[in-house]
Amino acid sequence: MIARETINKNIKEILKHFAEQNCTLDSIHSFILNNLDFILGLENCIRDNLYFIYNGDNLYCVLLAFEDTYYWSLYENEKFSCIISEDKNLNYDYIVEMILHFADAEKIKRISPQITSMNIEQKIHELKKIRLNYDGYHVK
Amino acid sequence: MFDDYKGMIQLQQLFKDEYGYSCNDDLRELSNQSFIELEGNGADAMFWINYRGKKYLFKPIKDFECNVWGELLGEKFASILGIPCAKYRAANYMGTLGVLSESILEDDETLILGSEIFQKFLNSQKRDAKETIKDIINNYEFQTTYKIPSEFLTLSLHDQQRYLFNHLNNLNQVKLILKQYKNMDPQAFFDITKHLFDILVFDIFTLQGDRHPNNWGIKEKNQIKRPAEVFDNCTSLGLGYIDISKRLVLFREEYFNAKMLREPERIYHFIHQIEPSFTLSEDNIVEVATRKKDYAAKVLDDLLQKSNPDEQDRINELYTTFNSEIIDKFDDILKEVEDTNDLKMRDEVYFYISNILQMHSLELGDIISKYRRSKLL
Repeated sequence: MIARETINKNIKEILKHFAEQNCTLDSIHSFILNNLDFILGLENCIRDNLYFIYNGDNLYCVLLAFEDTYYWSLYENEKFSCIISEDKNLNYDYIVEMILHFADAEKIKRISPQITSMNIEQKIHELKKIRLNYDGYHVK
Repeated sequence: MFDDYKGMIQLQQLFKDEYGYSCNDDLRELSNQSFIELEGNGADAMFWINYRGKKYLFKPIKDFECNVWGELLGEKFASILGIPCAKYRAANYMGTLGVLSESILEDDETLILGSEIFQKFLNSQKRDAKETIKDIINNYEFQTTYKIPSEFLTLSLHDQQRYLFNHLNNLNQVKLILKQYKNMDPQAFFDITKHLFDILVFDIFTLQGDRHPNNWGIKEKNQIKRPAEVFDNCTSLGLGYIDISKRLVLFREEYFNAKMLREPERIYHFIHQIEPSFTLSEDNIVEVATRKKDYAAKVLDDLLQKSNPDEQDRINELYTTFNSEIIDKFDDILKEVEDTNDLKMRDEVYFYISNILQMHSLELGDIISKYRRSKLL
């Protein structure tokens, strides 16, 4: 059974992180409500696994990366969708994949040579540290 | 753009003059400078420079001496045709040659690429939260509405989605998709689709074969949408092939063979290898597995047959300008572009581009005249 403190901590982290991205309370609500089972099932605090994918100032989705597994929740009409899990046979999101593939580009490897040996979670974390074009697709 | 910099823009010098920064070819160090942002998207685009309140993208160009002309002349051709296009200048960063282009975005504006439009469209097709992308693609109604060929279903999901984006990458399907796009008002829809029609014709005329859904888009600011300028014409004018130098040599040989043997089809064989990737409809797909599409002149033929009278007039108007102001004045245009960028087109590149454009224009002219005659009859 997941400890009550972990659940409370996760909800608090979500509220904090989403609020930092200027998400409205309604939209944060939609994320929690649409993904309550997922959040309740998390054994560890998700603070370090949450990323926001933007196109310019427009939030595209929230990305949750755990080692080589990742999930995303799309942001549309000021609401977050149910979390979608990456599954090469069922689900695939071009924009999410495109961002993940930034890590394979030569220019990124020149800046962060160690990125090739990282898992997806570390890659996303590394991409977040690079000053990517804020008018285009980038990670926060 | 960069009017106070004559000739090719030397970025090393610019960084020193403007920001007091001395380059040492360390991209990591450069990317930490406050005036630089790295471009993650695209294999070639490298970094953005924040320069005097505007942003400029540096994109290295492989086989620069050949391929740079697609971008530089493409911009000029678009300007003559009255089609809004991103602005380009030749640039040099530490010996890497490429182009610098001014951002097409105004403050707080976002460029939504065709790929994002397609992905959002796919997401919107979900009938319930549990439905997957695979469910959508396998849905009979979806397949019928968007004329998805049965061959798709045998592919992996990753390939299905790749092919699907290629399949949807045409004016008719994009119109269907944009109609359903969030907050798309009728005027924006009209302006965007009119511009996409112009891009389609522009690509046919200039033999642009790389208008994949990351090479077109719409701009959005406060939910107001408008067309994005044409950008990334690097592979137009028959350029952009992996071994372009070899292609130039082969073309020259075939050109003289064609003249000697009076077999112009030898030249057209070269031209017909170039297929626009953004076409009129899915009917222009020749082969699903290889994603092969009709060649440019054939797409024009199809377009003329299926267009309404206003669109036919627009094609005529664009072609007349293309022929009289671009083909007939090619040398003058080239001279102007050469002078602005302090470049000189190599003879074999000139031979290739000028002859391909001339022969291509003749074929387009024949199609248009044939069509005009059949309408008169």
